[in-house]
Amino acid sequence: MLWLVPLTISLACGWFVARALTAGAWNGPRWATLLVELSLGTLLGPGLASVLYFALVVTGSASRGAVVGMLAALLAASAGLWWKLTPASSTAGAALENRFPYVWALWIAVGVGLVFFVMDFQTASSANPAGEWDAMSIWNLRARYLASGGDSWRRAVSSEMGGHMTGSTHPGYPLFLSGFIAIQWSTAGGFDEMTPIAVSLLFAAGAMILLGASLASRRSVTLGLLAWLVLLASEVFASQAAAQYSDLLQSLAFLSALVLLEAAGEHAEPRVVAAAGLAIGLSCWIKNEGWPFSLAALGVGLWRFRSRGAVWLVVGALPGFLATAVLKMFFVQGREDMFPRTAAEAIDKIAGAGRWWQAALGFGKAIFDAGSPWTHPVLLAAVLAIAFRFVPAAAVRGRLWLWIPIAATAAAEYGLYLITTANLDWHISTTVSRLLAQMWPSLIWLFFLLLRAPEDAFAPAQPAAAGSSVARSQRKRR
Amino acid sequence: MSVPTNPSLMIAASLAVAVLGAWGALNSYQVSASYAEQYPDAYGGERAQTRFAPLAGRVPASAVLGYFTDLDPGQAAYAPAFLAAQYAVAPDTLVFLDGKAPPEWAVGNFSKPADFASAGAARGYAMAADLGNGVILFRRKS
Repeated sequence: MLWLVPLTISLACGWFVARALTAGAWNGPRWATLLVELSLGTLLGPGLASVLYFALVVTGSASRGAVVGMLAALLAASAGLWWKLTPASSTAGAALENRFPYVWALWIAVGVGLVFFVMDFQTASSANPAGEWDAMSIWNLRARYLASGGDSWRRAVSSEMGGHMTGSTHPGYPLFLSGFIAIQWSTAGGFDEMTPIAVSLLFAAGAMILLGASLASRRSVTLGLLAWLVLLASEVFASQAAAQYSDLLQSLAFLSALVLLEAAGEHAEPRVVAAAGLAIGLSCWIKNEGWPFSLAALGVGLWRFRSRGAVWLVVGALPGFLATAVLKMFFVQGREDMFPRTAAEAIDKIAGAGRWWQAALGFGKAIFDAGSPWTHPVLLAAVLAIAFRFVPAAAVRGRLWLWIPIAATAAAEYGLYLITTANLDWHISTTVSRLLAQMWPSLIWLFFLLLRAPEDAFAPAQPAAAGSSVARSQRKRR
Repeated sequence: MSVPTNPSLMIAASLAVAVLGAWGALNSYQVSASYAEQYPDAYGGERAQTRFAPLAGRVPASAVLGYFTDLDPGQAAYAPAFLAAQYAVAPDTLVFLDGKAPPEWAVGNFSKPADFASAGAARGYAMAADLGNGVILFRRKS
């Protein structure tokens, strides 16, 4: 269990960085703020640690002592950042007072749902401790190569891995997940199977917690709880939690970037903008699907913040972008075997109308399969939309820019199906639900961002009028 | 102008989502439990780690090992068997024997009893050790 030490240090680093860069950005109750910081920390700490570990590996200096030293330095630097940057008092606006009368019932339902989620994870992990297919053939395999010292790491970025079998050879896949697992293994020695299991749970929990807690912090506790319930009903998410893949880590990165972009959006606070940049950069250090998201998020961020925050956004994005670019430009040997070799081949595939339908049907089926019919997350969202209605049109328009990175990601994933050289049926059936899982928490969050907060309906009609504070306090007592 | 909202409808919808959300999580668990019961070790990773464990220490560290099997490439089990074996022996790496410079060491991954020595000899390898469970270590002849 020695691997728990580097894991804990990485998480502590993440919390220090998240706290330093986002303190004051969250309006909600203290528990929600803490959960947001912790869940952002599950992305930022491990992400920065994996970037630094990658630098140690490629320079041939990833000995156990060097890795421990790197983690200690990262901990000291992030604690220093926290000490230096965290403001003494919050500058955020007042929280929306919770007036929804049955919030306790929502808490109970969330608690019950979480119990089932953990049971689901435990059952799946017990049946397949080495994870599912890609965990064994890609992510954990690469972690073993990275953690084994010498030149073994080169095998993790070589097309020789996987015996040149289609779907098993991805020399250019970024190294966030494999690198982070390798940190625990190289520090503790050996390949303890509990490490990828714990890491998988960590990232799934991070994405889930961030979804509800960020809504509770920025909008309303009730909306946060309802968002958790919609996610808990999403089999597309739960089924990936124990897979030990990168997809839920990718979902955490996407959601983190959007949450931080929204939080930074009003005043372009440099610290929060830098945090958004960090999440955007780390998004492309996870999977190739992160590239379109990162570029689109960077683009909308630069447009949104302009001169006020552009520099901080780019500075924040550098670690993830640089690590990914250096990996792909200087160390990857071989190529992905699913892309056309010529433009003519790509155009020929794009021209096939059948592929457009096939890809669309694939996404449609994945959405249909995202949950059981009577508890389908889309059905739950529709029920809430009918009952709650959406925020005024002007507010909707003001939040649409946040959809752009996810729309770009969906378009890129759709485009990948159009040009893939693999059998399209096989490619869609083996990947589409995971692609959806990457975007799912973000889609739920974006949806809830547009919903009216139920607290509005239970608030006094004229909260600013004289005497309203008395009415409010009486209502609160009831 | 704000859209009128109906507090009773909001409460009813929220409570419905609460029940259905928890029920959906139960459904996911049931699907997962059923799958786990039907397909324990679905990709053979655990079995492979047990079967290939005796290989440890018998070949140089981070070795490149030739790989062959009695499974036909057309069989569904062919790819999972290779990938599970690859995971089990990592950081050693497996390469198919396709005529290019054969590595000094090779492993055979057999699904049933056979004349393992002949299978190796046909590829220019001599049997070095029968590690049990259909895993055979071979060494290149001269």
